[in-house]
Amino acid sequence: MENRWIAYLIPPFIVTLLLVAGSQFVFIQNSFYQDLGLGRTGTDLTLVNYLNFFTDSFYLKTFWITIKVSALASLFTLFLGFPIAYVIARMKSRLAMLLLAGIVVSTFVTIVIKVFGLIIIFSADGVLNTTLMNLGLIDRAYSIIGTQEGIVVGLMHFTIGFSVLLLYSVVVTVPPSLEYAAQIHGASRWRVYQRVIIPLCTPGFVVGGLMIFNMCMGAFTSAALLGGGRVLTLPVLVQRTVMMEVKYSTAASIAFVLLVSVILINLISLIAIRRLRSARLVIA
Amino acid sequence: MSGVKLDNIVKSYGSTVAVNDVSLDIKEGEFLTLLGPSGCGKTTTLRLISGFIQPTSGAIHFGDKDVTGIAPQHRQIGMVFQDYALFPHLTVSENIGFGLVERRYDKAAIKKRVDELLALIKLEEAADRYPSEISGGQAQRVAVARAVAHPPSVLLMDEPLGALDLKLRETMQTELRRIQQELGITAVYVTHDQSEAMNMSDRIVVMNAGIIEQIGSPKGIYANPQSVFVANFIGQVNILDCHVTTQVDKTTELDYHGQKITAQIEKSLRQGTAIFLAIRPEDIKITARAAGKSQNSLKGVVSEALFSGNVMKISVALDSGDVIKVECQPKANSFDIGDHVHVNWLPEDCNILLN
Repeated sequence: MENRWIAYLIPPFIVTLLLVAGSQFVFIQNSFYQDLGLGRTGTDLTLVNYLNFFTDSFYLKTFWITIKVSALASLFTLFLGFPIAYVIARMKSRLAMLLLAGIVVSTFVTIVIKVFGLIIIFSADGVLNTTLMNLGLIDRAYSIIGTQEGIVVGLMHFTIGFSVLLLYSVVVTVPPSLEYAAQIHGASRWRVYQRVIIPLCTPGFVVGGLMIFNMCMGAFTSAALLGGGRVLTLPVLVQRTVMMEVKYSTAASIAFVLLVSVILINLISLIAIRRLRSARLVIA
Repeated sequence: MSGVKLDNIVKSYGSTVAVNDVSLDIKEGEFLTLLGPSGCGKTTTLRLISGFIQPTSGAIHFGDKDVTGIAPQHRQIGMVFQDYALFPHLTVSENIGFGLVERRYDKAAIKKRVDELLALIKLEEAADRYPSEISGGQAQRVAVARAVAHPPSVLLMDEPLGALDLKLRETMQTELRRIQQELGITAVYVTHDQSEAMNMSDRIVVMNAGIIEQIGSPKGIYANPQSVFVANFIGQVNILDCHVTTQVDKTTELDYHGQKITAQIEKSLRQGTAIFLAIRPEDIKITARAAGKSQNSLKGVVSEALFSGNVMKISVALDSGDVIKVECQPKANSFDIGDHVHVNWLPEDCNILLN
């Protein structure tokens, strides 16, 4: 019975596989041929695109900035998201559901609209600068657009909703009675967090943090709009290389470096956390 | 360690009063049980003693110290929760030592105390296991050890045996009582299970709708319930509507639907007072013929007969319409539904309730 239905799934599976894996394969394969510009490639298999990437300080700098802004954005988002998630998870009233719904809805508002909101507030002639200058607190407009800080803010804006939802689902798994037990046996509020809530949420922080990091590494819109052409990240660079420079092989190699580095960072983080946890058990 | 004193404690949430003017004097080393149906205010009272909630009015003392308004972590209490609330990321030893670390004991002292407690709860072999790797009964013992590790002023237990099966619950009752007595700790225990309360407590506080109905030893409460609620809640009871006819010393004549009942009671009552007469099912005997003058005797028909091993539970429908429940030895009593019988009991076994 079940097998008969599975048979119906084979054609869509093949189509999907061809579309996703096939196009990826063609794209990545392209990166192993020399880029001759304007979409033309050489005929011999070569690593010259990758050599270019890893020897060009511009590419390396962009690569580093991408990792840096993504890591910072994920870290800050976790810090910002945890208290929100904690408060909602511990709420007894129906307001919690309302707040969660609000977060879900705002998360699915397109990032373009959200980034324009940021631009309205933070640009040189935006609300924030005008107000501060009128109050005489600053004498020169400061804009985050076109700065790394700007991209970090944009990425946080993009991921905060996801982080609250992720962390909410982690906090609700910690029974409140554990907090009562810790408190009654002498722990202050701060110690309750330190010894009970945070250790129990750590696996969630790691997984959630990595998911947010991955979203940031691949984020295009907020990085492109807030980078303003002055600060580039790898996804923006890939788009430019394809659209403006028409260098497909080069773009493919950059994309592949991005893909592999994200996978490696995830693997290394998970292994490192596992090491740390088993080490802790030995100490205890 | 110390006694605990509650003075006129009131706790209200908006217009609902959860605990209404409760005063209690818990002696040092005493095992006191708060017993009552759900919503009677027993858990609220426990939470007030723990400090997780603060009374609307009234004061709480531990020994001579006024602890009203003091946060739970500064009250020196131990608490056992219904769901154990063991820390899943810590081993059995670390769980027991949790409060000791928080109270800044040094490493050697922690180890010594934890080993002592592991011996007390007979769980030495499970020291390095995690809560997910031990059984429910073991987890309960660990929770108790954690609660008493840093000797508390008072040990609070919130229905700690509720999640265990019947056999294990009975073993744990003895076990909890043993640990409490070995440590000589003051304990406040919350339960809705009257047999649990009877088995373990020095004193029982029966609560209903936010007030204390009665305080007393298990025997005292069972033998002399002071209200219909207590009589019904602690064990089974038959309640008959009566009037006082005459009273000479302790011998009181009652009128029950035109029939004379004699009761031996301490209270002095005025003629004509409407009272409830309470008789325990095990104090009643069934006979085919009316018993002698020295006993009370009413006529009826057997309406139900249940055999449950050690006892026979028989219901007798009286002429008045009331049904009397009787518990008796199965060997000596073989009555069938429809048999005309007499129910008999001694005047000393009568209990008068005013309501």
